[in-house]
Amino acid sequence: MAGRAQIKTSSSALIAMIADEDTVTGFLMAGVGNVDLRRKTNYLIVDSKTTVKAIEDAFKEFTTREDVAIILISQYVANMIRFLVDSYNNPIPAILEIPSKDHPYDPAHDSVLSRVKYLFSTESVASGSIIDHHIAIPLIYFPVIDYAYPVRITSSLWRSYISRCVCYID
Amino acid sequence: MEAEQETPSLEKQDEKQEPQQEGDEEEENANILQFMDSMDAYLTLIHSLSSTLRQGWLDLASARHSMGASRVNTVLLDHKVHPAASSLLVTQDEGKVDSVEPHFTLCKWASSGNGKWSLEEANSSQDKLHPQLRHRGSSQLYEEKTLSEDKALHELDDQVQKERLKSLSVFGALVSPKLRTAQLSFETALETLVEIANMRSSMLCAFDKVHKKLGSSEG
Repeated sequence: MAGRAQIKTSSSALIAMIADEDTVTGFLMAGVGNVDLRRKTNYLIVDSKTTVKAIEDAFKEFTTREDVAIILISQYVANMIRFLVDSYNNPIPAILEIPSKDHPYDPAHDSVLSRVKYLFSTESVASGSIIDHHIAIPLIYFPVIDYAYPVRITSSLWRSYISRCVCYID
Repeated sequence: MEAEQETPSLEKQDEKQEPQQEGDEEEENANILQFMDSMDAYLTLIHSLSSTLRQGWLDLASARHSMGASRVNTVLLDHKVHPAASSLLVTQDEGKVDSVEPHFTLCKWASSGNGKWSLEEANSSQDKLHPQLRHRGSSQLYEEKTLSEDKALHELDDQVQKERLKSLSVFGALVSPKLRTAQLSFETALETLVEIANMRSSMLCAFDKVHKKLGSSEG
């Protein structure tokens, strides 16, 4: 019994939302909406009249609720409380920044990518001959965070990674 | 003589350290590969999510146009006490000391108020109703099992359809087909979001391992 892996399982965990009206309406149609006995909902609809404090209070409430596993937040709303979102480091609930109708997703502002970007060096790419579509996806986004060539990755490891990705296309 | 005796012991220590260093390097490379794969998948899924959401918003706008803005409105949302029809199953391995990587599984359209409904439950209910199937021939048993599974699947589909209609009922008895397609788009977006959450936790877990390794090597 000693050393046996303990797997904690939570069933019926909720998805909370802090987003614009259309996004919330859409996900409520998908069955995500929950109203508990205290008439508290698992979503906040953000419009022009919603104050920053109301958004902060909703974020703090959802991150402290035990029955919430994922929080969806429109990225433009997350930008209003960026300090609060970036300072949140717990694995659960997971904070996912999503695009909205009028504000497309910007990887430069994503809190998760901001947290990991320091792994990449600021030097420019030595070779620009990578035209593989599968590699091009991260390279399109990575220039925003000055990605070129990871510091700790050896050249042989990088070649093996590229060859794996080429195999996906073939 | 003493120097000659010391040299073989040092060589033995170096020989022991080499496999250990190779093992550490392999583990580090594996962590870095996992990190990069997770990051690539994360960005690809975000891109896919954006497309799906755009389709959903477009269909929702079309439905609002055909049904009227007063009929497709958040004012009509159900504020009565009700559980979420789509929820998550979260699994977290607490045995790992160096990392906590939760895994999310989407449970779509579990019956709200009527107990959970799953394909496994449908199969077990069919087995309870027909216990005599065990005594029949193997091919006949296989056919009957396939039929019972099909029946269970049909019942499951009917249950899911009922839940979908119930979810749209707040907008009225007759809704635009565009509203139904919008619902399907957001369901697809929900599935993508759960994959993104899993990829996010995988990426952060790999990042933590690489970060610790970098910290220990610099220290």
